[in-house]
Amino acid sequence: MMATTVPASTRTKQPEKGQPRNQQQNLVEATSSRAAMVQSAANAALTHTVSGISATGRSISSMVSSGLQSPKHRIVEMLHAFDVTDLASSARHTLSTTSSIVFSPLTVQAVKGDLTGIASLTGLTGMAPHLMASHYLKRATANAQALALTGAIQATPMPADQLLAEDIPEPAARVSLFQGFKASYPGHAKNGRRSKNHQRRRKQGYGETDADDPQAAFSSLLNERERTIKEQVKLQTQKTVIQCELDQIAASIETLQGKQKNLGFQLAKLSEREDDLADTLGEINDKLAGISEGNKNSNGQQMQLEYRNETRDSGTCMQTFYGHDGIVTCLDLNGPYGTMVTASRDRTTRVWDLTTFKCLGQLPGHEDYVECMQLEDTTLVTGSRDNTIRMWNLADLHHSQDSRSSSPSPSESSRHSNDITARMNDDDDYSRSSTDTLNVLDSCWTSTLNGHTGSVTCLYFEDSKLLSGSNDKTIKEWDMTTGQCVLTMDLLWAMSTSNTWSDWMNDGNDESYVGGLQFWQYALCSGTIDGAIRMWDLRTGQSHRTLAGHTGPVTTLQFDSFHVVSGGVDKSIRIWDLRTGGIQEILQYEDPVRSLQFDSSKIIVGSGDSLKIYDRNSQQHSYYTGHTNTVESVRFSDSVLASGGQDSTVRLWQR
Amino acid sequence: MTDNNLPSMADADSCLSDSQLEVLKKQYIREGEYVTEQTRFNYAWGLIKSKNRREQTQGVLLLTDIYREVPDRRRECLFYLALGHFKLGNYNDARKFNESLLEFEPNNSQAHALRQEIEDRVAKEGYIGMAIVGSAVAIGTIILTSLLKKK
Repeated sequence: MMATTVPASTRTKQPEKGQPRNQQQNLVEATSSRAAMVQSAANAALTHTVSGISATGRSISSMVSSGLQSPKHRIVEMLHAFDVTDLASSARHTLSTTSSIVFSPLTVQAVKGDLTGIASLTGLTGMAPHLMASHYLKRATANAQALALTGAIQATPMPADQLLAEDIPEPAARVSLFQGFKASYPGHAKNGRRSKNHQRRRKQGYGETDADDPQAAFSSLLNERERTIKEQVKLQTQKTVIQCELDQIAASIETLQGKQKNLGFQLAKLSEREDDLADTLGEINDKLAGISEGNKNSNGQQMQLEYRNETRDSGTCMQTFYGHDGIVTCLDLNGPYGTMVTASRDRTTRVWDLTTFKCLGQLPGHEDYVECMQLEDTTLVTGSRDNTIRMWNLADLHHSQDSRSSSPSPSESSRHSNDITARMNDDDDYSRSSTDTLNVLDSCWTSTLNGHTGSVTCLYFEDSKLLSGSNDKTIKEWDMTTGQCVLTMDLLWAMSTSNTWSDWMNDGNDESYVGGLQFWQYALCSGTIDGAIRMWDLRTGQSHRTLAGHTGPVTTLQFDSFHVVSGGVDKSIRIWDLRTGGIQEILQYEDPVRSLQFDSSKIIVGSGDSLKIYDRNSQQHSYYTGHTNTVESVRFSDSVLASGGQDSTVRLWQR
Repeated sequence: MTDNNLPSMADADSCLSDSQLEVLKKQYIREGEYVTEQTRFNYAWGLIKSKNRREQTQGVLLLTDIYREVPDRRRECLFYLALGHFKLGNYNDARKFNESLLEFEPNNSQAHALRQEIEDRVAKEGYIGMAIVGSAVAIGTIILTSLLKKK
């Protein structure tokens, strides 16, 4: 009796039959069929039931043999047996599949569908599926807990068909898993008991190798030989197994490296695109600014722009910052849309945000006004007339401090001071705020460097080295991390040894002793009141070169790899060639040069009340007018120029 | 695959001692994230060989993982999966895996032996079941006839 082969026809018929069954119908049928069974011993019916029962019996026996504990389950199965009659084939199918499904851990999903089929069959809709479902769930969770070790818990285990559907490639000719198992654990491969016997026999064999029986010795030697050969084979297989694993790992490493390369290329491409986009953005920004000349509201970030009605030759004054009450002595900025710090003789140092054009606050601490400063990223160093140098960290400044500070926005203005010349020609539409409450940013100060005995007039820092020049006729080198002065260079002595002493020194002018300085690694360049530019070696502290030429105190200086550019009270700018030490060019102006900055294409000069832009390639000048008094300090960053003047204003220009 | 590469049926029935299984388990855990397939197989095989049903299912699941993740070893895993399901009682699955293996390797003696075992077991269970159910039906009919007679 082939109860095992389930005919395909019944399989397809079963779902349709099973579904629409009604509980009452089932019961009626059950009772009627039972009566029929009792009364008629018809062969057909009997064989039917027997075959159906064999299926149920198989399920029962499998259940019995697997040693299930739940008695409820057995009852349900028994009830199955009673109720199955002319639905024998369908019952057979469902029960066999159910048993295999229910007791198989791999077919979680399939259970639910079949449970409904069983419910319709048995008429125990309320009882059976609930019981079976709960029981199944218990088993499933038990399995899940037991499987915590494998680390590869599937939420939905794949049934056999799905697994078989996957591709099964030809295996490479090498050691099989079982051979590997045997090689690693030879004792485990055989029956445990048998291996113990072997060990016992081996031990006994050892005990018996006495020399009195040569044949025993011979056989024991043979045994040993056998054992060693087996060991060899075992080692060989282990080696091949490990070699295979290593090859696999090498292959996967190759694929991963390939992936890495691909991703690297992609990354490079994306950064290229990013750069291109940044360039186009810069161009668009420039165009926008150019258009904004005619269009007052083009700067999207701006609330109330203040454009002054005056003639502009070239160069657009983007923004004017009011707020200082005294001559703006120096300023610096760290980017075209970053932060700008300005200091003035009103003893305040203000921080401005260049994206919103708002004053973020003032930095307290110096007791006298700040003469010089440098801003790099978020580090600010200021040198003041109170003989100290202070370091500040501007990293935590929030650019949206509107709530707390009623800082003057560009359209408002604060009190005017006495020594301001009439600057507001055409602006009638600004409001004066009665109280000028500035944010005091007292969390920015980091440290103070004391040591100078005269006001610090110029400084330059890079990394953690700071050089400062002071009116006490010295230049000091500081280590910014420790705050200690590591070197002092005496200017008097240096000046006395050179022949640059001239008459104007005795004029009693209030020029700074050291007008400008800059260093790069161990090379320092200083411009002093005697009009000489000196090169110092910071390792020795000695000046090894002097560039003479200015006929007045040097007020500003900058160098790069090829040139030194210096400006002085003698109304000239000199460009020196570093290799030859000679003058490459002299630019003459009508007013003393107070400040300059240059890059490879242009030199920005602040002298008189206009900014002079000297294009080094075309050797042409252009003029930015706007200040109403002498320009004291100029700084630029990318396309944004900042200038501060004796009219107490700071202006931003667009190149 | 030669006969040496696959275990015999007797081998599959032999059970490892607890300590031996523990050794395999420790090795499996020790290798951590980058556990080799040999170690996984060793542990899975040890689990399948045991008499405990829970461990057998664990072993089968481990083997299924190996099957899915290492395409090279799939053919071997077919045999072990068939064996595992056979021990668990999932004769349908066991048969499917075994048939698939026999498609690839019609001359594999162990596969034939396994197939024979599956058929025998299925038939045996059918007989036993029938016997139980038959007796149950017999008792039921006796009770019913007695009831009817009383009426």
